Amino acid sequence: MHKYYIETSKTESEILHLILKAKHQDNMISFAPGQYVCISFVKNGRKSPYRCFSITSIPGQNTIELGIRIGGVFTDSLTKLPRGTEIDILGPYGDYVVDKKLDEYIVLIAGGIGITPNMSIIRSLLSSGNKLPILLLYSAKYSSSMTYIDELIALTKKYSNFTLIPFITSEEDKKLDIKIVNGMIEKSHIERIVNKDYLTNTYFICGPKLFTENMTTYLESLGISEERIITESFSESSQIRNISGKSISKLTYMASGALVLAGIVSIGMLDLVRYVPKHLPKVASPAPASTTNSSNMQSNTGTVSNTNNNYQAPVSRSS
Amino acid sequence: MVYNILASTALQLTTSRIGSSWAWYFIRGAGFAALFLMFLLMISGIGHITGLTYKFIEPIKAWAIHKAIAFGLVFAILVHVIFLLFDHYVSFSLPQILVPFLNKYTNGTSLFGVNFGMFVVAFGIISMYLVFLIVLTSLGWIDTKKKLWKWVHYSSYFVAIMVFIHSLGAGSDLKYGIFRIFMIFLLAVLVVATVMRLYRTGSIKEKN
Repeated sequence: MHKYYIETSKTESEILHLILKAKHQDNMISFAPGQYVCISFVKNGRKSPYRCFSITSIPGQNTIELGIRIGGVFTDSLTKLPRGTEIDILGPYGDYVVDKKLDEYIVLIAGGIGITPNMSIIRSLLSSGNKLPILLLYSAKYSSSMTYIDELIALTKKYSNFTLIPFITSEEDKKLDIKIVNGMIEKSHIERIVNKDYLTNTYFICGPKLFTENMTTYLESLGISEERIITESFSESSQIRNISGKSISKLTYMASGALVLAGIVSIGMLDLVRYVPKHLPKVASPAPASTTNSSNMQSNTGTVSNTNNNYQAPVSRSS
Repeated sequence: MVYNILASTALQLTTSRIGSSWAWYFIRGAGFAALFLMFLLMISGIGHITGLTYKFIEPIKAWAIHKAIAFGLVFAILVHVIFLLFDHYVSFSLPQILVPFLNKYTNGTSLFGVNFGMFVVAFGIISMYLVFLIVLTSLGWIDTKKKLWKWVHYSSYFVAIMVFIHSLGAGSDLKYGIFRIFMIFLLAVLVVATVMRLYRTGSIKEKN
């Protein structure tokens, strides 16, 4: 666990920008751009639940920045925390990260608050002088709800290898200092916008569930292989696939099924171990084996009465 | 010669016992598994809030496991319930399995003169419906109707209470001995975990 405290906290159009500073320099988080952390704060000596948020800042600093959409008891509480409040951090987690050796052209597809992990990727790749071409398709309802839009526009002007295409899904009057596309991101946009080698690009998708599913479907229908489409859910299964060839969900299903089966077998075995020796004839004083036939067993099983549904607990039949 | 007779009798007894009790084994085995899966489900869910789970497993994987355990629980419940129809010792009709308080099950205890066994079975039936509801709302509402999903999810604590009463009151193996002690231990762990969870939730609901 890493101990941080709130250095600055700024709310901007329903997004909380939280900058946290490490309490001890030797306990700083080492993360890759695109990863997320889980945080809990301490209020009146009492710890809050943990919630997970994307890091938007670049690695190697003694502060980390989180981009948090406000909309719930926890995030509301976060906005009210004073500067200096202690924050416990678990992580970093996630495989939504760029592989600088494998990825040759990066297409980031962000829907709404899904921009946050992409901000860390963009900021760190560009600031490190990496010449990897980056294309960001950023979809939001209004341009006013596009977090970081001013910074992103400024980055397109500063770095030639970074291209931004905003998609605005609602009518509005505010103009952006960049060409926008009205409407949602469609399959045709991806075909037209991305470079001709789109099959070898690496695609990072982050946004609401339906958005992520739609984008993944578009990309797959264009013939882009699974390995080149990175989403949080994809990363979850792919990592496990490397370990055992099965996703963690499948492993859990198998374990649950095995538990049910083990329960049935062990209960059966236990019952037989209790029942059979009790009903075996004694060797010292030979008893007729015929006393243990099926019909006798029924009467030996206790006081089970099954008439008119007026029965007793099944435990009695194991005696 | 004597041993041959014993072996033959033991085999006869075993075959006969399995033949008459196989449905009972399924009911009890699946019931045990369901109880344990419910315990794991509750602990893993509470672990997400307290951060304990995240110390061992990455959050996305932890959620995937939580979801998969829920499906495992539904499967175990279905096995537990379906095989009640095949058990001829305590025969339940389909309506008695699906509608609470239709059964006349008795475990020999009463509460204010009312047969307590009937309540014990009814708690199991109500819990089954609530588990199905919690799973279905988690599949459909977790993103779209978050508040409603959360309130339905809170009912899992009532489910846990009812399931423990159901299992300790109706479970053939839980009336005494090591199984009962084990179940009470699980219940105690769950109570402690729930208190820890409520303690944390209180911190964000306090007035500033």
